[in-house]
Amino acid sequence: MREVISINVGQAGCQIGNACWELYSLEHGIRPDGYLEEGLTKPRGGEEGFSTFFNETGSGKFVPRALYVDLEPNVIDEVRTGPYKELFHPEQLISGKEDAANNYARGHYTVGRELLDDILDRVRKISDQCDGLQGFLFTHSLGGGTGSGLGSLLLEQLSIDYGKKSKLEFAVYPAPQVSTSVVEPYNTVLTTHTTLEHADCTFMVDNEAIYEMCKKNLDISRPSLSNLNNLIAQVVSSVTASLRFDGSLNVDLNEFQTNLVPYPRIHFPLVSYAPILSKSKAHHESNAVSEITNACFEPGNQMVKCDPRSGKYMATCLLYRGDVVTRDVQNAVAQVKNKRTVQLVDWCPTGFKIGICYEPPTATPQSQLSSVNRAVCMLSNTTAIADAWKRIDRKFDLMYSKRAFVHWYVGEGMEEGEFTEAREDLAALERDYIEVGADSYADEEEF
Amino acid sequence: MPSIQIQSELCSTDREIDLDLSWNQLCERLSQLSGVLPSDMELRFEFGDGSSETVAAPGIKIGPFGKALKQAPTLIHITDVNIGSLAHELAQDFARSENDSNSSSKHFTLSDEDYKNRKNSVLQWKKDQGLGSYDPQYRAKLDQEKQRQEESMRGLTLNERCQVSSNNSTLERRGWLRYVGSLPQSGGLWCGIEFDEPCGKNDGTLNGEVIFGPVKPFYGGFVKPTTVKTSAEFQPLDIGLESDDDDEL
Amino acid sequence: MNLSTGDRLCVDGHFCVVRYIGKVRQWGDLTAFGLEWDDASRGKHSGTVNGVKYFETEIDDAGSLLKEAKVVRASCARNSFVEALNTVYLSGRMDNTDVYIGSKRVEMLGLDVLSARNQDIRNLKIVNLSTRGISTSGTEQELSLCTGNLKSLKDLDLSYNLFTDFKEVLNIARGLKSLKTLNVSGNRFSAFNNEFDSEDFTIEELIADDCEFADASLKNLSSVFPKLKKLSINGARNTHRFRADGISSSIKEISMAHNGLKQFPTNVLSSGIEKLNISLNLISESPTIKCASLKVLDISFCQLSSWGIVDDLCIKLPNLESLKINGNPITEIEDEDAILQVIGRIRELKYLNGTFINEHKRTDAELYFLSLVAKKQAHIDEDTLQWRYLVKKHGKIKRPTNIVTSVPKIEVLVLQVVIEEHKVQEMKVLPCYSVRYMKNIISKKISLSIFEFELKFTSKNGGLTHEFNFEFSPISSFNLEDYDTIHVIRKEA
Repeated sequence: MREVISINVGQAGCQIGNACWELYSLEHGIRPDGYLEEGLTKPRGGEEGFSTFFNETGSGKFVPRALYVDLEPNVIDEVRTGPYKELFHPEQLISGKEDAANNYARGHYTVGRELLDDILDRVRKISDQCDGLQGFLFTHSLGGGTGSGLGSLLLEQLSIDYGKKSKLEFAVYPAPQVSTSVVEPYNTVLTTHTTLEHADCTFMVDNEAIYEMCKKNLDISRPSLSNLNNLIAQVVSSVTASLRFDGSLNVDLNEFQTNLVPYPRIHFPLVSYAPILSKSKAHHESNAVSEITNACFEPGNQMVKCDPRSGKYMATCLLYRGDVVTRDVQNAVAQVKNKRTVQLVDWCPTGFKIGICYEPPTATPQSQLSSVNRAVCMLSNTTAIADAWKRIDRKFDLMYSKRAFVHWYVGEGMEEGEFTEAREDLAALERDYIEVGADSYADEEEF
Repeated sequence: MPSIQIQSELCSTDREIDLDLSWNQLCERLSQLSGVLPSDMELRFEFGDGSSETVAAPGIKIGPFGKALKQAPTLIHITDVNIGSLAHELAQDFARSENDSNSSSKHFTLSDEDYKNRKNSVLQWKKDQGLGSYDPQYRAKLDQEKQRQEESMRGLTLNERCQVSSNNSTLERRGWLRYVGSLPQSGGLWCGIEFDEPCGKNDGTLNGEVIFGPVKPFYGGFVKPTTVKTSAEFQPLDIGLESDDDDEL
Repeated sequence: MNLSTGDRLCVDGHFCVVRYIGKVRQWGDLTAFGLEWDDASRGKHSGTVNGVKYFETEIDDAGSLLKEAKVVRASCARNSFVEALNTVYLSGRMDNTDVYIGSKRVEMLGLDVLSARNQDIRNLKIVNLSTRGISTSGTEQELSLCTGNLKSLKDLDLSYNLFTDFKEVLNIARGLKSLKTLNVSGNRFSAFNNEFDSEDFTIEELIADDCEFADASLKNLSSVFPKLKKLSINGARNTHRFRADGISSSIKEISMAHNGLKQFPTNVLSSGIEKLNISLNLISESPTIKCASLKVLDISFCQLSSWGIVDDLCIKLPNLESLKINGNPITEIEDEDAILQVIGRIRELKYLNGTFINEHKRTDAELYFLSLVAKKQAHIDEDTLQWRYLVKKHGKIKRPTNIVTSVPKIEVLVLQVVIEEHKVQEMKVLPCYSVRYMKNIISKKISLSIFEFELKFTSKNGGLTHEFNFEFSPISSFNLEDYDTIHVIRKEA
C-alpha cells in the first residue's frame, strides 16, 4: 500500500480539490455518493492504484483520502451541500468562522494557528486508515491569505509530525497581470520562503495562462472560475494518473522528486498538457502522438507563462496517457530532438524520461474538453521558470521599499524581519537558477 | 452570500460579501483587497439591471451597506480619490517597472559574498559534490573539447560550401557555412549553416537574435565545428526534403 | 507504382486524388501524374497547362502535374488494413533507436510492457490506424483471421487514410463483433454508389468528418448502422445534401459543423435528436419546426443577426439546456450584453457558451433584460411564454435611473472610443481612472485581451495622435477633455 492524502487549503485549494475529486471519481468509476457505478465490481485502476487515493469502508463505500480546510465557511459549505456531499465524511471538511483577509500572517500566525490542532488531529485520523502512507498532496494558492499562510503552516507541521514523507504541491501562482488582491506579492514570497525546505515538488499553475487556454483552445468566451478549475483538474489528474493507475514512471510520490528535482530547492517543474481541444473543435485537429508531443513545447500549452527556449532543462518527463503505440512514441521523441532546441544541463543527475500510463483521460460532462483517447503531460524542470519568481520579487520590492501595508502583517504579530529574510531567500533562489544554468559546456550538438 | 466582482486600479477579483456588513466593515474588507484607504474611497455599485449607484465617502455612513442599496450589487468599483495615495503611487511604480525592466534602484540585490556564504544553495551543492565547473575532470574535458573545436575551426572557410556529419544520424547534410563563433546562450564555438534543404532547426535566428541570414525557416542551424568540413566540392545533394520545382507543373 | 485514376495519395503530407496518368508535352517520355489536391491552395491550375487540357479538377485551381519519380519518392506507402495493423501493433518497438539529447540518453520506460500490450490484440480495446496510408482491407482470408482476433475492439480509428470504397471499411467492420466507435474521417468515398444493405453492425458512433460521400451512401448511412447513436459529419464537402430520411430514431447526437448549411436541418430536428452541433455554418434563420427532444445546441459562429431568432429558439426548442451561440453577429459586439440577453430570453438554459448559469446570474440577467425592454433598447413579443414568465417572476420594471448620493459631485469625462476606424462608441470615465483600467473596460467591450491592443488619443480640436506612455497613470495626467477621441489599435499577432 502506498496511500496519498490530499489536503486542499483555502478557497482556491478547495475549489480545485472539488474539480479534482469529481474527475478522480469518474475515472475510477465511483458515483457521487461514494458507491461503485452500476456494472462495476471493483473500481477502475486496480487495487494498488485506486487505494492510493480512496479508502474502502466496510459497507462498500469509497471515501477520498482528502481533507478540506478553509478559515471561512462559504466554500466548504458548498461542498457540504453540493452534489458530492455524500462522498466525504463530515470530519474531512474543516472550516473556521473568520477569514484570513488575504493576509499571510493571519493564516500563518493568528487565525490559522487556532485551527491547527484540529486539522492535525483529522490528518492523524486519515493517516491511521493507511497501511503505508507515502505522503501528501497539497492544493492551495500562493497569493491568498489562507492558502499561503495556513498552507505553509501545515506543510511545516507535517514535516515535523511525519518526517520524511513526501509532500507535493499544486500551487496557484498569482497571474502576472491581474491581481486578486494588492498584497499577493507579499503572500507569495512569504509562503514560498516558508515552504521551500518542506515541499518536495511544487507544480505551479497560473490562472492567467489557464484563462487564455479556456478562451483560445476551448472556445469559452467568458471563462468562469469553474471552467478554469475543470481544466486545472484535468492537468492534476494527468500528473497523478501514474500514482492511481498502472504505469511505468512516477509510480510513487518519491519518484517525482528523483526524476525531476536535482537539488531540493529547485523543485518547481513547469507543467504542459496536450491536447486541450473543445468539443466542437476536436474534429479540426489531429491528436497524433507526434502532434501532442510537439504541442507540449508550445508556450500556449504551459501552465505558467515563461519562455523555456531561453532557459535550460534539468529534467523532463513526458507522461503519455491512454492509447499510444511504441513506434509513435519513439518517433515523436526523435522528432523533438531534430526539430526542437532542448538544452539539458549535462552535469545534473536528472535527465529526460518518458513514461506511459495505459488509462486514457476522462472529461467530465460539464467541462468543455473533448474526450480524447490519448494525452500527454510534460513535467520539465527548467531554469526559465525563474522568470515567475523574478516577476513577483520585483513587485514585492516596489511595495516593500515603501513599506506599503506592512503594518497589516505586523499587526498580526509577525516580525518585520521575516519580510527581509523571505526576500533574501528568494533572491538566493533566483541565483540558484542562474547557477544551475551556468557552466554547462555546450553539451548540445545542435541548435 | 452573493459573489460580487471587486475592481480597483490594483485588483480585480470575485468575492462573496455579506450584505449585513456595516459600511465601515465593507470599506475595511475592500481596503484589504485594493490597498485603497477607506477615507480615500469612492464606491460605484453596479446592479444586474444595468443601473449603478455611486457613493462618495462610504466610510462615514452608518448601518449595514446592503440595506442602503436597492438590491445586491454585481460589481463594486473602488476609486481612489486621493491622487497622492499609496495605491496610486504603487500603480505608477508597477507601470514604470513594466516599461523599464532595468530600473534596479528599488530592487533588492543579494551580494555575491552573501550568496557564497549561504549554506543551502546550488553553488554550495556544486562545490560539495564536485559538479559542473567544480568537477576537475569536467574542466579538463571542457578544455580538451575547446581545443578540439578550435582546431577544427582553423580548417574552415567562411561562406564556402560545406558538409555536416552527425554521429546520431546517418543523414549527410550540405549547405553554406555562414557563421563561426560563440552563441549568446551557449559557450564554446559554433558554426552557423545555411542548409540546402529544410533540415535545420531554425532560420539563423536564436531567441530573436539574428546570428546570420535570416534564411527560410528550418534552413538554418548551428552545429559544432568538429562536424563540419568546407570545400567547393560539396555540391548540393538531393535528399528529397525539398519540393523540387522541376518535378511539378 | 500500380496506380490508376481515382486513387487517393498522400504526397509530402498532402492528400490528393489521381486524375490523370500519362505523358506531358514538357517532359517528353516521362510519365506524369495529374493530381487534385484536397487543400486547393496546394494546386497550380485546373488540369490545363499551356493550352493543353490533361484533366479537369472538381475545384478550380486545385490541380497540378507531378513527375512519376517524385510521386514514387514523396508519397506514403499504400497499405492494407491488415498490413498496417501488423506494422503498427504487432511488430513491437524499433531497435537501435536510442535517442540522445545532448549527452543524455532519453530513458523510455515501459515501452516493453506497452509493446506487449499492443501485441495482445485479443484484448485491445482501441486501435488507432490514423494516417497509415491504408487503401484496402486486405485479402478475405487474412482479414477474417485478423478481425477474428480483435475480439475486444471497441474503438477503431481509420481516419486520414486512402480509402475510396466504403465497402472496404464495411468489410473490416463486419468482423469486429464488439466495435462501438468507428472513425473514417478524411477519406473520400467517391467511388461507391451502390445501395447498402442493412446489416447487423454494432457500431454506435460514426465519425466521418472531412469526408466525401456519394449521395446515395449518405442517405443510407444511418440505416446501414441500425444501432447508431452518434454521428459526426463535420466539414464534409457535401453534407448540405444530407437527407436524413432514413435517420433511425436511435440517433441522439449529430454534429454537422462547417458544412455550409444555410438553414436548420429540419429533417434532423424531426428525428428525436438530443444534441446537435451546427456551428461554423451560414445559418441565419429560425428553426422551422418544433423539437422538444433537443437539449444541447451549438450554433456558434453562424450568421444569426436578430434577437427574434433567439426568442424562436426558446419557443421551438423548449427543453434546451445548453447553448453555444458565440461568434454570431448578434453576440459579437457587446459581449456581456449579449450573454445577459440570451439568458434573459431563454428560461430553461443551464449552460451558455460552456459556462454554468447559476441562479444569481440568471436573476441578474433577467432583470437586466427587463430593464432593456423597459428602456426600449430590446424587444420581445409580449405574447410569448417567456415574457409572461419574466413578468410573473420579477414584475414589470420601470425605467431605472442612475442615482448619485452624497457630495462631492463627480467629474465625469466623456470620451469617444473609435474601434477599427468605423465603430464609434461613447464612454464615460472618471479622470482618476488609470489608463490600464480604461483599457480594461474597453477590453471587455471588444472582447480582446488588454495585451492585444493599444490605445492612443487625439484632441477633439484635431492635432497629433498621442500615445499613453504610462499605463498606470491616471487619465487626468494626459489633459484629456470631453469628447476627445481614444483610438483602439489592434496589435499584430
